[in-house]
Amino acid sequence: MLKQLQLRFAESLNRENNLIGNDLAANALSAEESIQIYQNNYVLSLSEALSATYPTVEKLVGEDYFKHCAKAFVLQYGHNQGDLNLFGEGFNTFLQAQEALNALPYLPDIALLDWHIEQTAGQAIPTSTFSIADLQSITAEQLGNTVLHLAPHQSLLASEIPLFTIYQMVQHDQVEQVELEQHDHILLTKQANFEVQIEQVSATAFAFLKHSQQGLPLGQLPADCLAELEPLLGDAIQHQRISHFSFASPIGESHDANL
Amino acid sequence: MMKKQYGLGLRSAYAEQLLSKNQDIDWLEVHAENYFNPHSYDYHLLKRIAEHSPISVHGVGLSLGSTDPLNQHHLEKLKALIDDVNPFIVSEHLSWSSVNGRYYNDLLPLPYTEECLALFISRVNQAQDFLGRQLLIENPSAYLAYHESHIHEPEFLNQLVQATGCGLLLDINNVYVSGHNLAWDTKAYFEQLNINAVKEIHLAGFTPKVIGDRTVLIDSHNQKVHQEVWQLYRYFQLHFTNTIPTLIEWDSDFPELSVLINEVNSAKGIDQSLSEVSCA
Repeated sequence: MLKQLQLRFAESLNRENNLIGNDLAANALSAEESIQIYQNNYVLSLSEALSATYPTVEKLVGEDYFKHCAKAFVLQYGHNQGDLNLFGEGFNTFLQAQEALNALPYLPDIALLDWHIEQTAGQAIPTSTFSIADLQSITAEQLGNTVLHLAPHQSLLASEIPLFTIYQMVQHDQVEQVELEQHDHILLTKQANFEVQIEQVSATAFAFLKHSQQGLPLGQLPADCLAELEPLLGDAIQHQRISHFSFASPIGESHDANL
Repeated sequence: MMKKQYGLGLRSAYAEQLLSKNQDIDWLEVHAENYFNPHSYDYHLLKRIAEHSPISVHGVGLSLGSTDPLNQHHLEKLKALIDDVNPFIVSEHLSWSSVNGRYYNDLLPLPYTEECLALFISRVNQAQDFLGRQLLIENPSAYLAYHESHIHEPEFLNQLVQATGCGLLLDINNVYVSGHNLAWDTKAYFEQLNINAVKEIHLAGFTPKVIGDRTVLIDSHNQKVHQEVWQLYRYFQLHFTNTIPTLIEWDSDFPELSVLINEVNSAKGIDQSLSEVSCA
């Protein structure tokens, strides 16, 4: 019985029906008015979480329209975990589907960048440093089977618009004409002061780091990355972008060789 | 006799100001879920604050009253936080917030029935066993009641205490808000409650909201403690006990920290005036 009552309550919160009214004792408020208070609290708490995660989106669309979008997102998708820090994934896709936002074609990618910034800020910074000396134990035969692992305090984001430029403009309130037909490759790195550094990297460097993030062996590197392997590897190690390496097993998995 | 403790809810808006122990606050309370990520900046600040200030952990998302199984992942994160910051109090709510795997992030009301009591006892036992310590359970603020509720809230809490060994967190603002909204006798609530089980008191502000021809009180935690709640606090201190640690909560529309410190001082002032009356 309790389960059914909670389901009826949830359906009322989701605005699917108001059958919970039959369960409520007489009160000065109607069932609808009582439920509305709980619904307001529920929508408000999740909307505030979205606002904290997507500050750049909110700055672009304004507080009122953001609240409108957040409410629609909350009611459509809800939340499937008790931890509010994990709420909001997929908001970029939701925004993309909003016809009213067609005039801001860059907004979904801005949302994705906001999401990456928050996720990156929550990652651990490796306590040990990885150096070129750590690679010296790898034999020539093992090299193609070696997997370099992207350090966990970094993430990558590719965009088919000049996302970095637009993001910087929004941050500095400098609106200028931008040619949207440019691709961007972005690397995010959490700093020791908990801020997240955002930088553009070349398409080749991005492909190399993405290869590492995906746990693929060096033998499967794209040709343009292989051609620049030495500087790419040197740069990645110098900037602590690699946390460790492992060897891929014959079935494509990898096992750690150095942590 | 040990000196009474006065605390403040630690919110990120104040965390940097509270890094130095120069405020006359005995302890700080955190919402557990805000500190589930040990790599976050907020967590980093909490660890530094915990070096000089006692901490209590107040959960808002465990959904103890849900018919869904307890979220083991949530419990594990809560335990990791507790093991790391070693709080002197851990509390949760007499409420539910999830069903069929969907979370509503609000403290939703329970029907006070035997079925619900049995479920809640089972969940509190499970949580206390896993955490290896006592939980305090806080009375909620309510805007509705169910037909099938036939156990008074204080009696429900008393039976919960008896069956699980948990303690109680008495939110006097919630007693006032629920009393107003559901036409309860707030003083009778105190008389019915097992006061010996109360280990912490919460005070916060509510927002009156006019709906139709009625004024409903919303437990908003975004303003000063109302005069009526101070009077109820004074009544409780005078007629029951004035030794329970008392905490001021403020969760949005944050004012200057000094406003919250003044609220703490108001609580101290009431206790001081009662001490003088009893000494006279």
